[in-house]
Amino acid sequence: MKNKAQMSSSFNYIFALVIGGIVFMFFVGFAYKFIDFSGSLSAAELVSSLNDEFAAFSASDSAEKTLSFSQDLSFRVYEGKILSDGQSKDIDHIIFAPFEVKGEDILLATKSLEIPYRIGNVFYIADGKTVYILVYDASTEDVVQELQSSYTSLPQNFPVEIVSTTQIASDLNTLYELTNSYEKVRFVFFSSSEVYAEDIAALFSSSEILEVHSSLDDYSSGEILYPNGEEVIYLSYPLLIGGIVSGDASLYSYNFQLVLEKLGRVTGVYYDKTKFFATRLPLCDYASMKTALNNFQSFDERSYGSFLTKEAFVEEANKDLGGECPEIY
Amino acid sequence: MMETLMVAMVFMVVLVVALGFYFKFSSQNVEEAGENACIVSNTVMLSSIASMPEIQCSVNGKREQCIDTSKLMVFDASQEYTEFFTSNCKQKVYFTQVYPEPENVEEVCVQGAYPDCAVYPYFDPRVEYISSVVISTPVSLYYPLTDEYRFGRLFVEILQ
Repeated sequence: MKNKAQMSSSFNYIFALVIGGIVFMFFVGFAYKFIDFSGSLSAAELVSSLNDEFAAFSASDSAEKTLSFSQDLSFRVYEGKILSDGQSKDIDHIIFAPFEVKGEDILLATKSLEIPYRIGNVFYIADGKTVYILVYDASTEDVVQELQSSYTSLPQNFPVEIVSTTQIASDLNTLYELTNSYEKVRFVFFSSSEVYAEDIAALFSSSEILEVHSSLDDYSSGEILYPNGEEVIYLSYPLLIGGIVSGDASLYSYNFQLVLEKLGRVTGVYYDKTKFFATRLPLCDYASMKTALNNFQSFDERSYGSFLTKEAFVEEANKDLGGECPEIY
Repeated sequence: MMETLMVAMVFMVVLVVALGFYFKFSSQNVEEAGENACIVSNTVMLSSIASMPEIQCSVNGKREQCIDTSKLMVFDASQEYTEFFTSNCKQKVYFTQVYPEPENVEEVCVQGAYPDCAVYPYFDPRVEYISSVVISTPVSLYYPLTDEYRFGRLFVEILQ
């Protein structure tokens, strides 16, 4: 009898342990699922709020805004997706951003892209942890000053400094002290950086150098050379700014392809509009506009010279219209 | 031993019922949040649709605050913008001419009928729906062939 009672008591303990274990496992599983779900919801909320900001921004030719969140955020913008906490959401905008954006304050900016007609807005994201130092020589001083404070400038809420190559050569320490509070320093040379690269690398522990080259006096189109030796082309100031802000050449190139797709789509609309006008207004000559737009859809994507030549034909053909024969754009 | 088993059974049943209720309310909240986000996004979208370069007016490459109706005639957003319009929820987008009042307010604009028509379809996901929420904003419609402006409205119909 005593033996039976002892067995029953042991069985109770084992039973309680098994049931307790099952309930415990259930709660642990539930907690993990809930964490996953919360992460997914936060990522969705982040993307949704960014999407709304972008949509509202796209009505403007140029705008800037700082979004403040109550907690530290960390996300990446990679090939049309926002990646946050293991979650990924598609985003349908052309966004130039560094490798990773992190912090409580997210800097947003937008600019309208007109090449030669408006094809939409491009967006920039930064977290204020990288300072951009634009370096000029005697021949590029005006260009760099325009990029610091004018309609075509880098977003005013992004940390930007401009210095001359003379200052770089003679007083790099002052620049170091000025930028000491930033995690990263990105030098953008509008001249050759070769002579200064070694000194910069020795003093700035987390820095990189980009070079911008152009055959145009105003640098409105040209090439950007990244630290890994990759070179990309840009077709207007908003794309130059995109190149300066982008983490590397591949992040820039993905967005550049989106720009070309958008350009192709808008050019297609203008081409169809030209055909429509030609049918409705038979006395007007839209042949040269049709040819120019048709050619514009197929420029050499590796050469900004090819783009500029074809763009000039489109502008010329549009200028020749007017009065009884309405312009196309 | 039976008592222990009974207590454990009752506990499990209560736990499952409680979790069932919790998940039901949670999913309802998420659905409501989704619907609200959808309406907010579409309200924001009203302004961004009117500034799409494919349909917005321009003079020498610079945008003007009006809709170029000749572009509406040649651009089919249903082919190009499926993901843009249906990312949050499904919606139908169209423009209508309000003033001067068209003879037939339901006449859909196609190239043959243009510009004497009233409704310019812009995006239609072609899906079945039970009800819809309609939001709209006034727009200026531009007719480049006659260099005329008319008063219109942009409608976004959120399909549910």
